[in-house]
Amino acid sequence: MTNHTFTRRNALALGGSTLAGLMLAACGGTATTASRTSGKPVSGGTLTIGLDGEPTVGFDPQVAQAYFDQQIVAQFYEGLLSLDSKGQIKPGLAKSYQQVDSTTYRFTLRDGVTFHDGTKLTTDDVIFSLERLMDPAIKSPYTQQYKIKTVTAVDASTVEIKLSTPQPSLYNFLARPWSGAIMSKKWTTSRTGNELKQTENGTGPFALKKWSKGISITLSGYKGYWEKPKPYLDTVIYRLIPDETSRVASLRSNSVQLLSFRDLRMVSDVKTTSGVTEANGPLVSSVWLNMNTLSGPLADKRVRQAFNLAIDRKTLIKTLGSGSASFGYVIPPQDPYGTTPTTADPMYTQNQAKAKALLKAAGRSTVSIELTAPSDSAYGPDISALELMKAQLSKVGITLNLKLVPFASVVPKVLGGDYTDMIMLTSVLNADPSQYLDLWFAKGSPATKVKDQHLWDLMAAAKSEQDNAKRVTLYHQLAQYIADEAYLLVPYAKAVRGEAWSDKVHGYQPDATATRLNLKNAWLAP
Amino acid sequence: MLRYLSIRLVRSLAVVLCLSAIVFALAHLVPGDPAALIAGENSTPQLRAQITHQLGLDQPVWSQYLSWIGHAVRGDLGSSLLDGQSVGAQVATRLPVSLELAVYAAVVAVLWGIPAGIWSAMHQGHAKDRVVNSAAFMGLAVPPFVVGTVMVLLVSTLAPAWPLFSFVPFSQDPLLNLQVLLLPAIALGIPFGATLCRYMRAAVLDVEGQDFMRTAAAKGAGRRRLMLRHALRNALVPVVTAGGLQLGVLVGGTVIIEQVFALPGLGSLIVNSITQHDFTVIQGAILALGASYVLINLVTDLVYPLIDPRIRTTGARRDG
Repeated sequence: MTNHTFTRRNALALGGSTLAGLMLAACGGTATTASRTSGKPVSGGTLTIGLDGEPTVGFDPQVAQAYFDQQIVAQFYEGLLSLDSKGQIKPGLAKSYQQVDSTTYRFTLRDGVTFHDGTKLTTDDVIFSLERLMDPAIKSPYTQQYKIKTVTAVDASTVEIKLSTPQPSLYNFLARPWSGAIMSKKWTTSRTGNELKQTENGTGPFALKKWSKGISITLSGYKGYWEKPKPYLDTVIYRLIPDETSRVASLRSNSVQLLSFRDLRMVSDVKTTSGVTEANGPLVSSVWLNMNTLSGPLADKRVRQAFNLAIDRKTLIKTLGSGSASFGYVIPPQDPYGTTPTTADPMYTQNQAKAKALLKAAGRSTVSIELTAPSDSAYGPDISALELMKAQLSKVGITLNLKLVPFASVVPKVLGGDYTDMIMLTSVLNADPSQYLDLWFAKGSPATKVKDQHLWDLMAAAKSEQDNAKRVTLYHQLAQYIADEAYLLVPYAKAVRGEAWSDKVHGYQPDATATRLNLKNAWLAP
Repeated sequence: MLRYLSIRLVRSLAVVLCLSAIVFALAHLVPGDPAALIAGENSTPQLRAQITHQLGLDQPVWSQYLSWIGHAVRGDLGSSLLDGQSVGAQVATRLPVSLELAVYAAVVAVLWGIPAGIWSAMHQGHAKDRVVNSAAFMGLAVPPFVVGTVMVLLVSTLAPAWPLFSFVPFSQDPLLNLQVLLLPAIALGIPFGATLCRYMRAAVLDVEGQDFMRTAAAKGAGRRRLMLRHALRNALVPVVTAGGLQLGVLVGGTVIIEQVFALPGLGSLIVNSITQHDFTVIQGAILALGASYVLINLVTDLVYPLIDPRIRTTGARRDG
């Protein structure tokens, strides 16, 4: 390797340390360190990956909900559409697609697609898969995200999807390799639910060879894959190494060549390792501090804004480390519908005098607020940031009481609206921006802690907008509105995980969804 | 002897039964809703209710317990709430790894702890004794996971060829298996050996002052014969007690070491199932862990009569 690619690391070094904070916010840690793609791809070889956790529910794509399930399932299965490395919609198993009217879509299937058992993909399989997705009997968490009414075959290679109501987000959902997965009808119907969790028969670039529970998952490159000559790799071994220090050590000793890690403070450690390329994932994790505006001190907008103005976001971001955090809205910066707040935004600039004045206007000199947050070790850096925030808030007379509980009990508390003043959760990339907002603000949901008809009107308008450019604008406006009203604070947005790989791995790029390691284009130097 | 054996067996069974009830209660006390985890953040309450019902988690806890224990006594530990895999099968593949690691660590511990203890007792008060003592204290003070992590970091840079994370079952490749487990066994064997060393030293010193030792010495037994034939056998009873207890603790205490060295043992199964609220797996795995602890203690109890003939003839309790 003689060519020196221009990496984010160089960019930062050039930027100089004083500008670092601004730079981070500006370049948003896009971080997809230009992958070494020089040279002609070579087929063959075994890539070993350090795996942080095993699938929990298994390989049934339409049921796979956990990250640990999705990252493996995404190697086996594909949808009618796909996402490129920037998160844009691209053809998948459908070579072309068109919208006929507001509730009708047509998809023409690609030729020469086969399942891993060798059978040919037909319109029957597509109809079966999408009907299965909508079937309440399989208890898919995704069913309610799709508005599919009927799926029919127009001819031997074209299917028509009719929706019950217009759904501008349909393409985004069909591009998800898990919920939008196309399964073989014959194969799926001849297996029990539990068998579907242990085996697979997708159309994707890799097929399951063996799952040794607690040790490793072995995949083999699918020779009959439609996008020839991909995949280049013969074998992919996911070796389970739950401990992050051990996992990074295994990259150093070359027992694995690719891994992801959650604690972004490890980036600096990885950087000093020679022969390793590192990258922060995309900034898809907005840290959400949702406020209970129905009762208690936060029902007063002035108190909420005082809270917001008391925070020094730039300092918080600095503590999180190099390039792995930035300003953010409720929709994360690197969602196709998200954007990054400007540094000039008064809501994102610390102003303690104004915060005190607002509190005074609200008739309070001191306020005590309870914040429920996850205690799991994965949230270590965030908890440090919260402690720092607590100190900043105390300067204006706000006492923040942290109530740390296991993540597993944070989720039901969010869903049931079961908390006093505030609760913290972090986002992952959602298929459609409406999901971020529905989680917190859906009208009539027990999770919703606001009463604002204007907000609900905006949400409904954005959800049903058919023109994508207008839709993007509407979601930007919504995010700004929520920030201005201080319904939900985003102290910072961050990458979900970092990735590192050996210089022997070529053609690899971190995925825009931050959910899977996209191995289709990867190859190993001989 | 038969009476001794049967009393021990009945007691052990009672302990396991009590344990099962405690484990069940604990698993259900852990906050969090498996249905919410299975169905996800954006799921509807209806879907969650449906999943809860299907898992039987809407039944009263006591009725869930009776149904579970009913199946458990027939050897059926149920299946995972999440992926539907048989709990029995998972435990059956994981338990041997933890047991092997514990035994391996015990071997390491015995290899250095016992000789060091005897040697130290034979040089009581001398510099050699003090060196061994400080070494033992160091071994007790540094937690195994620290030793483990340091070993991982050192080995991965200094000897990258060493198979750090390439676990294979013993039956598949015994040599590689023993190689992979060597470092974790040492990490666990250091504090275990230190405990043995301390007990051994105290016990030998205790025995050395006894009348029969003086008699044996008066009869002209050499120092080596005195130590090996007379002192050691008598000193062994408390050491076996301590060793047995420690070994039991080790089977469950390998959790962190399993994480550090990425070993597919029972500990990592328990950690995973707790974070995932997989009740049936938690219950099955902890029950297996408890049962093996009880079994190890039972075996220890049965070893006493072999070491000390007085227990064989009277059935006297070791502590009474």
